[in-house]
Amino acid sequence: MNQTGLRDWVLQRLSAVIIGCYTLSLIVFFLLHPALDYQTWYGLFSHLWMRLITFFVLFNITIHAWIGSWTIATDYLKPIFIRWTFLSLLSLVLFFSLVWGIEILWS
Amino acid sequence: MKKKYSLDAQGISRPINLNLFAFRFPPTAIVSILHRISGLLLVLLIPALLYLLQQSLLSAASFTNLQYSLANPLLRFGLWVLFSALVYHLFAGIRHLIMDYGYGESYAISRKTAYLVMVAAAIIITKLGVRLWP
Repeated sequence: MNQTGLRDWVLQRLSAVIIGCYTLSLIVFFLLHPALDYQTWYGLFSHLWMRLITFFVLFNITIHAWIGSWTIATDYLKPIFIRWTFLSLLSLVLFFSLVWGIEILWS
Repeated sequence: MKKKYSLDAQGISRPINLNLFAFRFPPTAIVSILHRISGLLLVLLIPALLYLLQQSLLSAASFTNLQYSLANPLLRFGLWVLFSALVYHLFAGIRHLIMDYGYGESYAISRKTAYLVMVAAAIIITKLGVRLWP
């Protein structure tokens, strides 16, 4: 977290818009394919652009989740040891989720 | 008996232990706390979401398997919780962004949009619940 928090503030909103657009697009896709089969679903993710966009969104989710959790932890977890234990565990989960995301999209 | 009130510097009686249940929370406060709770829930469910993505893309067999697994009432309920948090967080987030942009910041309007977010989310969450009901 930087001195003023402005960077976090902007990143939180920018990532929110990116994740929101992706989520709404996926919802529209599901509504257009009420009986979704594997071929159609896999076909969507076989495109390189879809994998790249999905990874980009995953990266934004990591940023968004981190800033949100940091804010909540700072507000409610007052003992510094508990707060940093929570945030350390969370950073590990988020990091490995991102790595796992790459593995899912490119294997 | 525990003393429940104390006098402050002005001699006004103040409660010592704040009873959260005795407060009246305005809709704007409820929207905000639910935004946080749904957000935290979504963070905790990131691995579950990735697991769904993995199983749905791995192979045709794992895709079918996933469909069978999600027929389980407990997992179906989990899916409903996940989507409920997502829908609510999205709606409350859109309201937040619009207010950041400078619209609807007065208390009168933000009260109305707070109700709007909760009612709209409740309708979609209920519809989803009915559809996912086994």
